[in-house]
Amino acid sequence: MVEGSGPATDLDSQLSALRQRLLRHARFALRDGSVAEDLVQDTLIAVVERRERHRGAASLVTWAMAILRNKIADWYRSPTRRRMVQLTADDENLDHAIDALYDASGAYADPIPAWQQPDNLMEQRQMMTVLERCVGCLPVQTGRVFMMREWLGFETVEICERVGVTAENCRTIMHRARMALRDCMQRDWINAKASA
Amino acid sequence: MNWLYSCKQVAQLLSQRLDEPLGAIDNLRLRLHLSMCSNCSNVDKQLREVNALAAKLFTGCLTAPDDTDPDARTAQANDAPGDASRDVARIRKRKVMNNTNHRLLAWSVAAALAGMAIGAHAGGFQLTEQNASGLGNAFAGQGASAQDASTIFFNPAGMTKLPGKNAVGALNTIRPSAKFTNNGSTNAPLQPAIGGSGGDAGDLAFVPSMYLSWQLSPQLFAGVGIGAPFGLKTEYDTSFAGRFHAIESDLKTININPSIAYKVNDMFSVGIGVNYQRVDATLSNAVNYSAAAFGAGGARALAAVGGPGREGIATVDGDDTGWGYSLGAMIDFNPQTRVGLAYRSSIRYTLEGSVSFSDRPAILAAGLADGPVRADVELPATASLSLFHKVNPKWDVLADVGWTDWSVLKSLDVRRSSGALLSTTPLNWKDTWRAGVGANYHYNDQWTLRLGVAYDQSPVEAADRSPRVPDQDRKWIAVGAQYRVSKQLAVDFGYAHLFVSDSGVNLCNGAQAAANPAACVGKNNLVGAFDAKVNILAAQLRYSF
Repeated sequence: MVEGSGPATDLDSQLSALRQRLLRHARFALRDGSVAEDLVQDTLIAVVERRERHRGAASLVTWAMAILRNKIADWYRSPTRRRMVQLTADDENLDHAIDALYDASGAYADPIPAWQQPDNLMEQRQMMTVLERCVGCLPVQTGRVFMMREWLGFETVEICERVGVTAENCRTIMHRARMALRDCMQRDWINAKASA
Repeated sequence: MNWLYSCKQVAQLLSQRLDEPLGAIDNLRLRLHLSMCSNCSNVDKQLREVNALAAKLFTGCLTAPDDTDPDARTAQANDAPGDASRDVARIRKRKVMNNTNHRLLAWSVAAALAGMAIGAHAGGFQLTEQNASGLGNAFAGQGASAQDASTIFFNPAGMTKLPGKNAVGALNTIRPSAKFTNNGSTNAPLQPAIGGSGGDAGDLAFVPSMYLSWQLSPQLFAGVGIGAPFGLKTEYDTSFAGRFHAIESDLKTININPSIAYKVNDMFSVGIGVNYQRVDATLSNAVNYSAAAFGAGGARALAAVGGPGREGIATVDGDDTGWGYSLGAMIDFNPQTRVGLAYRSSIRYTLEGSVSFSDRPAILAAGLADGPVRADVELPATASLSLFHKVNPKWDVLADVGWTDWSVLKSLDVRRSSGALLSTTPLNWKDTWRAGVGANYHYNDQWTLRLGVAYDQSPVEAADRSPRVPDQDRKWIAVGAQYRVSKQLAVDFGYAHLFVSDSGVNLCNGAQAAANPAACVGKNNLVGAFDAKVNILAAQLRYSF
């Protein structure tokens, strides 16, 4: 395994770079540092083991990311993860922030402007970076549910079951998450770009 | 536009619509609102856009080109607005510093998991085999039958049925068999050899017991029993496909049980006893040194241990003694019918011992250090309700239901001698019930014939079943006989066959490894089934003075 891939040190530095990158993403998706460490470790072992199989296909990072994503999905699907959603005050506070968007009659207090599409690749990347940060700012449980739905692609029915909440609660959590992200993108991407 | 939903309600529907189809009426009202409200149609577009972007998070196609070096990527992240990049950089730095220690710790934890098994393995192997006179009845109704001094174990109140002095010595010979059939096990990380069936894990075990009882006064009785209420022995070849999960599991107990019983009146008797118990456990399994080295130090460390395929054996042993109590009551409704209630308390242990690693590469000497370990374990309480009824001078019937509080084994914490918590491992055992019925036929003054059947639940749930305790629900069928040599001396024999349901194993599959990485790191996904059965032969001598 080591023999076929040149000096061990090359592989080592390549892997440690990959590790940093996977870790950052795993932490976003899991909101739990030690679980993220463990799943990334498993991913790296899988990468080293199956390197030969990967050659020529997608780039190493994309491929490793797909493995990590599967491991994270498995982790969320494991029976012992049931009932992990304990909504905290932070999650509930989001409601107040979202309520503040509306007036007493339930209409938007301030006009909602249309978003300008990113002009080029660099802007697209910046937009993704802002979104990453916005997801990172979501309260822990709201962020997890959002990542399960939109990044891991779980059906809402499955999410409700995995996290042990009613369908109604699940809808509310998704609604809060999306509105909070929209609001965050509005402030940190659209408004920031306009004032730059 | 409020006459058709408020914007606030619309926002909820817009989110819901991304997850599931809306009803026709909701759809219509939503469309009407959107056609008239630019705010909401903007929100609609933006929610979709956030969703579309989120699906691409971390795919590498937008965040950064894939094969750039890490420094370039850091620089790029620093250009991004907001303080995300600062956070990320801080996290990165901290993680880099933590990495090595964290990984080594995780590996010591994994190695110490052999220790965890101490609790688990006692688990499926409660030993009901505390006499030979009850074996022929599949131990049905032993809490009410009081046929000899072995009642000290099953129900101390039963001593009030035994005038004078009584002695019992019994030996149960247990021969379990458990054969594994591999059905798609993977190889462990960085281990090319999957391995074989491991041979028959079962081995001949001898479970002795002895009892003495004395009548001190017309009402008061005293006695002492010595036996082994829990025990287990399974051992596989070192080339077993499940070697990273288990090679040897050996658990022995010895229990000394002084008791007294008091006959309140012709109807009621009560008994109480103290249990002083010692437990001794040895557990071993293979350790994946190649994966450990890679986990701790990357490709360089892997090369240093000689690449893939390097493994050794971790052995944990530990022992402790503890105290418990037993209680019993017996009610004689009439001379033919009696009922017994019995309870044996749980006993808490702190097993202390050591872990050692064979053939360990020098580079792992610090991470997988030999040394003292300990584990808190509780062996469960049991309770039973038994019935004994003399149908006529020739026939007795016996029945009982028993309960064991196995759910005390929720998880096991393994600690280094420093007290540092190494791991918390979920076991998730469930309480079990055992029910039996039996009959005695008094053929003549010398011979009594016995038979019995029982159903015995396993505390192990399918998801957690390990090769250490390849346990599953059992059905007992038993026969036995007693021959009275003289007024003082009787000899009992018994034989039982236990049919064990087929038990599937699927340990450390993707979901489990993801849920509990510390328990599965370096191990393979073991998939297969056990074909198990047990034969028991027992004999005892009873002497009344």
